[in-house]
Parts: sequence; C-alpha cells; structure tokens
Amino acid sequence: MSTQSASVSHAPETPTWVKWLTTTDHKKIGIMYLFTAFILFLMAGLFALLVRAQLLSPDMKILSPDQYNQMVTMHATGMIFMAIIPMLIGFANYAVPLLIGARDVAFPRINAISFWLLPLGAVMMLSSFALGGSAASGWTSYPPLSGGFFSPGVGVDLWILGLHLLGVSSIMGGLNFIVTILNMRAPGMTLHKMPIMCWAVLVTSWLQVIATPVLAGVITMLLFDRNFGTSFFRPEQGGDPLLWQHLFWFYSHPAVYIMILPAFGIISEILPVFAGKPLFGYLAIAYSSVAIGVLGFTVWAHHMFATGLPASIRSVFMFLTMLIAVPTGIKIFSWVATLWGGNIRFKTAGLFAIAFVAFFLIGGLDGIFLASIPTDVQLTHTYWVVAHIHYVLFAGSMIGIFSGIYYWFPKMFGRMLDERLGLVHFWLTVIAMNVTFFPMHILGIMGMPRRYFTYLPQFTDLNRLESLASFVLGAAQLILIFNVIKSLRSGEKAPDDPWGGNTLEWTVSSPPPDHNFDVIPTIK
Amino acid sequence: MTPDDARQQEILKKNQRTLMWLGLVLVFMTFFAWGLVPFYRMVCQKFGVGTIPQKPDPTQVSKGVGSRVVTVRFVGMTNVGTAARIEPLVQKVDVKVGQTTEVDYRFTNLSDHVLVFQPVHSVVPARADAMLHKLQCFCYQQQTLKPKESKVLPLSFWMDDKLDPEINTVTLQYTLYALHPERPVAHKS
Amino acid sequence: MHTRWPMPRNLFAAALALAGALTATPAFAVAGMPNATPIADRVDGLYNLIFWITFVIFVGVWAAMAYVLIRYRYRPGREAKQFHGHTGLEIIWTVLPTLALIAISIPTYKTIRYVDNAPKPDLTVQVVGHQWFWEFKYPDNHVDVSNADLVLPANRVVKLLVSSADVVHNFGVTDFGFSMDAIPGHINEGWVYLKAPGEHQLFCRQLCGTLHAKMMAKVKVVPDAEFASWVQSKGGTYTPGEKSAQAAPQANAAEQAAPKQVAAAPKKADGAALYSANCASCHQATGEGMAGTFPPLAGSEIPNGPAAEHIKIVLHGKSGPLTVKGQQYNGAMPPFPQLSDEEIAAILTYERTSWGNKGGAVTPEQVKALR
Repeated sequence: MSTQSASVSHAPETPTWVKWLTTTDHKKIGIMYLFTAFILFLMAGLFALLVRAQLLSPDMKILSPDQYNQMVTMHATGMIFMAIIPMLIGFANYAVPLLIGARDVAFPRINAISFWLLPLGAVMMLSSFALGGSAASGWTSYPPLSGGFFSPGVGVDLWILGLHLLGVSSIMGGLNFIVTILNMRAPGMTLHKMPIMCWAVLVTSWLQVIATPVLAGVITMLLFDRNFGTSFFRPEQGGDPLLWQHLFWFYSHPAVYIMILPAFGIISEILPVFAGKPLFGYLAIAYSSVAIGVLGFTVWAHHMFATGLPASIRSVFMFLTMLIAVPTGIKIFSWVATLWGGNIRFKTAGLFAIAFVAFFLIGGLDGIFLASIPTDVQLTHTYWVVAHIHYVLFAGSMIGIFSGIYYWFPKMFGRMLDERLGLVHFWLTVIAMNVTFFPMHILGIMGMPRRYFTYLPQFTDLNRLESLASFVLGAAQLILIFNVIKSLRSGEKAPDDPWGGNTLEWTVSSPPPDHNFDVIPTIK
Repeated sequence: MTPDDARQQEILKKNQRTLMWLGLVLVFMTFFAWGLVPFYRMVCQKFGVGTIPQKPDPTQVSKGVGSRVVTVRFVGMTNVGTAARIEPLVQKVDVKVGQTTEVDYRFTNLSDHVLVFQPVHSVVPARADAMLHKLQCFCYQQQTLKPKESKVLPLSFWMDDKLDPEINTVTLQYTLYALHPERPVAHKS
Repeated sequence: MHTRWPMPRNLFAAALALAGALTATPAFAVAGMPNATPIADRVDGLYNLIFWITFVIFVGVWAAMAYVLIRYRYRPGREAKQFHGHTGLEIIWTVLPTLALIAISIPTYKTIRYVDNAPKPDLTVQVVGHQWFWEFKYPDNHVDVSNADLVLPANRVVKLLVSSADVVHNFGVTDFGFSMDAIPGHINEGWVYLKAPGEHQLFCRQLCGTLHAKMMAKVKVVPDAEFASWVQSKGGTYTPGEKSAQAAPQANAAEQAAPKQVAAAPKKADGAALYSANCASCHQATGEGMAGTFPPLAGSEIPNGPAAEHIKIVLHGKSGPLTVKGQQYNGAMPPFPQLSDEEIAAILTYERTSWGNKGGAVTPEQVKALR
C-alpha cells in the first residue's frame, strides 16, 4: 500500500487538490480530519456564542426560544460528534502509524471512507437548518419531546441520519486503529513499550467499536417510533421513555471517555518531552486508561438519578461511578510526578499540557458531586452540570487538542508555529475559559436550570460575566487561526526534532516522507 | 521478495484475521443493542414495573390477612391529546396486608367518537410494585369507550406482607393514553 | 533552546492564590442559599464534606504543580532526573483517594436512606408537568390549580407525587434540596417538611420544548391555618393538623382518616381562571402572546372572527404557518380535547370579550356541535 500511494504522489499530472481528495495516506487524512473538524468546531463554537449572547441579560431577543433550543442542541451535537471526536481521531490518524513505526494504518481505504463520512454526516445534519429548523430537543433528545408528536419537523430525523453517518465513521475508525495498533507495531515494540498515546487510542477504539452500535440501535428505534409507528419509547404500547435514557447513556457515557482518553494520551506524550524526563508510571497510566474504559460501561445510570430508579440500583451505579475517580486520580498524580525533578521548558505545547492537568482536575473533582446521589439530584440539570461537562470537554479535551496542535504542527507542515502568538492564545484561552465556565458552578448552586433562554434577575451578573468571557474565548481562537495561516506561509523551517522528542515521528523528516520510514525501525 | 515485503504480506494477512474478529464483535454488539429492548422489558416485568402489567400470576395467593396496615393511594392522569377523564372514586384506602380490596375508577370519553385508550401503570416506591398483586384490572388491555360514554371499571388487589416494612404508603398511578391522540391539525390556507 | 519564565514570579504566586480563593467560592455560595427542608440541610452537609475533601485535593495538586513549575523551570545545563516511577508513591495515591471516596460514601448512604424513607404524610400534593406550566392537585382536599403558586403548609410532612402529561419535565426547587423528573407514564415521589413560612422558586429543569425557560412557579409556604383558608378559597376542605410543630418529622403510624368518597363539587366554569391555567403560559395573561413565537389574542383576527374557527383551533390544535396581525408565525398549538364543552365555552368567551376583543360569547352547545 505504501508503494501505491508513493506512485500516486510521483505522478506529475495529478493536481495537489486531487491528491488530497483521493488520498489514502494516514497523514493527509489526519490533517483533513483536523481541518474539517476545526471548521465544524468554529461553527459549533459560534452556536455557543449565540447562546451566550442571548444570555447576556434576561430579556435579550437575539434568538427566539425555538432558535435557542436549536442552537443549544446543535452546539452540543456539533462539538461532540463533529468537532472533538473527529479532531482526536485526526491526531490518532496522524500520529499512531508514526508512533508505532508503521507506514500507514491497516486499512487505508476504509480510513479514507471514515473521513469522508464526517463532512457527509455534518452536511446531512446541518441541512435541517434549511429544511424548517434543526433538532431542538437537546443533544440527549429525550422522547417524547424528540418524538413525532412533539417534534414533527424533519430536524430530528436528519439529526438521526447524520448521527448514523458519523457513527459509522467512528466505528470504522475504531476498527482500523485496533488492527493497526495490535498488528503493525515495529519489530520489538511490545504493547508495554509502545507510546502511551497508542494505549489511549487503543482503548478509545474499543469503546467506539463496542458502544457506538448501541447508539446506532437506539437512534434507529427513535427513527422508527417517529416514522413507522413502532413503540419502543411510547408507553401506551408497552414501550418506555426511560428505555431511551438507559440505551442513550449506555453509549453516551463511554462517549465522554472517547473524548477524553485520546487527550490523556496526547498530553502524556507532551508533558515528558517538555519536562525532559520519562513519563512517570507508564504502566499505571496505560492500565488506568483500560480501567476507565471498562468502568465507563457500568455507570450510565448516574445520568438518571432523578428519574426515580429504585434506590438499590442507584446506589450500585453511584459506587461504580465513584470508583472511576481512582484511575483518574492516578493519572493526575502521575502527570505531576512526571514534571517533578525535570527541566521544564515553557513552550506553548507544554503550557497547554500543564493547563490540561491543572484545569481538567476541576472537571474531575466537580464530577464527584454528581456521583453522590443526594448532591446529584440537587445539582442535576442545573448549570453545575454545564460547568462540569465544559471542564471535562473544554479544559480537558480541547486544551489537549490545542496542546497537540502546537506539538505536531511542525511535524505536519515542516514549519514552526509562532511562539509569541501561541503564548497570547494560551493565556487568553485559559483565563477566558475559567471566567466562562467556573461561575457556572455558582449558578448551578443558585439553582439556575440549564437550557434556559431567559432567566430570573438574580442570575444576571454571573451570566453576563460568562457571556463576555465567552466572547473573549471565541476571539482568542482567531489568534490560533492567524498563527496557523502565518506560519504555513512564512513560519520558521522546522527541524526533524524541534522539541527533543523521544518517539519515532521525530526520527524522520518534517514533514515525513509519504511512506514514513525508509527502513522500518526496530525497537530494542 | 525482501524481508520487509515478506513482513508486510504477513501483516496484511494478520490484519484481515483481526478485522474478521472485530466484525464479529460489531455484529454481537448490534444484536446486544437490540436485545437490550426485550431484556429491559423482561427486567421490568420481573420487578413488576412495566408500563403495561401482565395478567395476574395464579401462583401468587394471599397467605391470609395480616395485621399490618398500608395506605394505598390512587392517581389518575390523562396524557395530552387524549379526550378522556379518569377519576379514581376513592383517593386512598388503608388496607391490611393480604386482604383483597376492590376500588373503582370512572372513565369518561369527552369526545363524540369512539375512543380506544391504554391505561399506563406506574407505582411508587418502585420496589412496592411487585408487592401489589392485582387480581382484576382495567390496565391489562386496551379499553374502548363509545362517544361521550362514562363507565366505572374495577381494580382489585392485595398487598404482599413482604412489602418493605419502611413503606407506609404506596401510590398507584394510571395514565390514559389514547391510541390515536388528537394532533394539531395542519393549517390550510 | 532558551525559554524565559513567561510571567514574573510574584505575579504567578498572586494569581495562584487568587485562583485558589475563587475556587472556594462554591462553598460560600452554598452557605448563602436558604434551606427550606431538613433534606436540604443534610444535602448541604454532604455537599460541604465533598467540597472540602475535593478542595484539599485541588489545593494539594495545585501547590505541588506550582512548586514543580517554579523549582524545576528551565535552566541551561540542568539535568532532568531520569526516573520512571515510584511504587510506594503510586500505592499511596491509589489508596488515599479510595479512602476519601469511602469517607464520602458513608454519609452519602445515610443521606439517601433519610431521603428515601418518607415519613407518613400529613398532606399529599400531586404535581403534574405540562408544556409549559405546572398543575398542582390536592387530591384529599379537592383542590386543583394550574399556572399558579404552589401553596404548602409549614411544619407539616407533605408528600409530593410528580408526573407529566406530555414530555419529560423536572420538578426542581433549589431550597428543597432535591429535584425529581416528571416522566410521562411514570410517577415519582418525594417529601418535604417545610421549616418555616416563606417563598421559594420552582423551576422546570428538564428541556421540555419552546418555553422550557418559562415553566416556573413560586412555592408559597404558609402557616397551617392560612393554608386551610387558602384551600377553602379554592373550594376545598382542609382541617389544620392537631400535631404541634416538630423539629424534624419521624415516621409514625398516625391516625388516618377513613377514605372519603366525596366527589369534588361541580365548579362553575370560570373563564379567566381557566384561561390563566391553560392558555396564559403561551398567549400570556395580557393576551399579547410572544413576538415571533406565540400569536397574540388581543386584537387578533381569530377571537374577533367567526366563533366556529376559534372553537376548532382549541378542540383540534393548530400547526403550520399562520399570519396574525400582519406577523408570520410557524408553530404548533396542542389540542385541548380534555376540557369540557362548558370549560371551552368559558375560555373562549373570556378571550373574545377581553383586551378590547369584540368576538362575543360562545355557548357550550356551539362547542359540542363542533367536537
């Protein structure tokens, strides 16, 4: 397969854009994943800014109530399925074959198909805006609100079909990476010697393969209930709206780990490089990812503590949920210990990795309140939950993604990103992120429910502060875009190994040759 | 063939084998996902928390009337788009465990067409559901009311003495769902 | 590769201290919230326990990081220590969080037991979620109010039965210390013992469609005697309890009144009250609707036009594009077949004769003819 892609790239008559569109090379596909998902990230971010603009004061008229619900729904759906998961798959695509000393992924053509399903799924879902409005029942789409009676438009149907395409893409990606990591490691690279990022991707891929079919099943059931008169979720014919919640969270809780484990992997590669020393507790970090992956399947009902499930069932889920704090704690402590005794260089990539540890920690700790049943039923469906999910997915996943962008950009494009712009982007992002999301804890305690397009006067000050900070957060991302464009044009040429990295991608040129390695390296 | 090519060939074979296994995992998970639906219904039936209860279990027989008294409360609800009313004629009764008690519900069709509806069953505390043994209930099947008809249907039950001693009140709710609910009529103009 | 420390050290320390202080604000926010029930007191206690445990972990990790980042910042020529792990340390930080979780779990479990073991109630209130208002029924007192305050007596054990007539809602009163989902076809229960008269805020916390954010109500807690007169004013009956106020309720087998088989007295249909209960959450009490979302009734073509069209809309609902007073609307109004002919006639008469409307009265017979 490497010879095939090499011959394509040597053919002089093929224009560059055709080469990109028809490529099966994991590096190009990885970059296309990152590019497409970043565009979708900006779109979903814009939805969030519209939501925040509406919340500047209780009587804003920027969005109608229905438009607001659409924005809330598509912000979450977009960020989860079109931005964060594909960006992380993009990094996996780019990095994993290089990290394990392979020339490509196991099935390059399947890989290309999984990528192309991403824009297809996104277009499918977003087309609903032109066809009478998108889904507006939240990304959780609880029936009966998402059913045909209460959401008669095509929005929910297109949401389901788009999600199907994104789900198939996710499953195919997962299959590919499991096979690649299990079979294609360079000679001598045992599982316990492979870079920690590969462990994260391996566990994530298993989660994708095991959990996504359940999502596909449950949204198909909703599609049937809406259009073909079945009654999976309709109680009058033996169905149950709670069944949706069980099945949906059976997928969607592991989905949170699909979004955070690769970010764990990214920063576990980056922290040691900038500390100048090896990762502390490699095996503990690797196997805590496995533990998180396995436990992730046993905790879904903690999203349903307020539904009136019997106390005995709730208690089991509570203890299992709390158990997840242990492997997560092991990781946090190991990262701090990785920095201990080092010679720490404060490059932007390293700073983002350090910020990840510092602020993802908050998302881990405020989750404990949501694991304990009595505090959960007090805080659930309030802004506390919004704060928690954003500390996990923004302070966690997104900050990890930024760290990865600054780290691998020189390898991807052969040019360095501007460090000064990087520092401005870093500080603005970290400060604005905390000013946006931390006060949401307080709003949650005060009882402000989530998904409200207007609110009581006592919530005004904090909401306004959050909205203003969110605009800064949004604007800060323009600096990253500017930095990328400027550096691609006139950035300093990147050496093979600008950071002093230890993994295999730094042994080849920047950008790497099409076939990655002239000679497959052997690991001692 | 160089050693490198030989290795590639070998990996290619291995990849296909692994993919086949993973394909099996995928097929299994798909069956698992759809299998969760009957599994969920089975678990609900076992714990007696299904939305539409099964017929009474003839093996469940009261072992005689005990001295413990439990309050049973009756709640009637109508789902949106259902042109009917449900009224328990008694709001609550105090029953001795093991004692068969009969209460009546009045159902009224407010529309002038035939109404087919299903009463949907729910009990709190959930763990009391399996302890409330129904002998006769309108909830086992769909019910039909003629236009404007009003009729009284009985519910008879006995409370198991195995009911958690901490429970003093059990609430039984029926929600009426029309099988063809009134939908908003599309505007024609 | 030379890198300067990106920020002066004092500023860094000050920023850290500020961050630590700000992170403690949730604890003070909780202390500032009024607790209406003993459950809320216990949940607060549990919250504070979890908060201070997690805060110690947070400060510990941040202090360690701050130390490391300053102490081990880049210095040319310094050798980074090359170590891969430390078994003792790793065991400690596996065991310590486990112990912390056990420390959280035990009081958590006690709180769950307390919340789940409802004492015998003095009063039962049924709460029904509707798009987008709350209905409160007092089944033993023959009172049923919608789109109004939830009035509850102080110093009584009140059982709340929560369900929904359409989509999933959530009954959330922050000061009560818990929330409950209202799921169609299901019933959920909770109990409160309100320590003192006062006012609290009820929110719907689960996204339930267009006007989710408007689905609120006030909870008015009043002394028992005042509650009795409120019930009477609504046409119901309530005997103030003889029990004296208790510090905290205990489960007891109190005397229980025999089941009354009194049917609610037929009430005269009151158009204004019925409008307020069924229509005002969208069309507003002023009849002015909401710009772009819910068409107005005041001065609108429909309540000033033929009665038949108006009756049909209420009986069968309406969806799709609609022009009212020159404004475009494209929503859906649910049908109201559950209302009786008399009730619909009263509502329509109210709508057609209020806010300057001149549509004229509607009779129950007209409604009956169009069913």
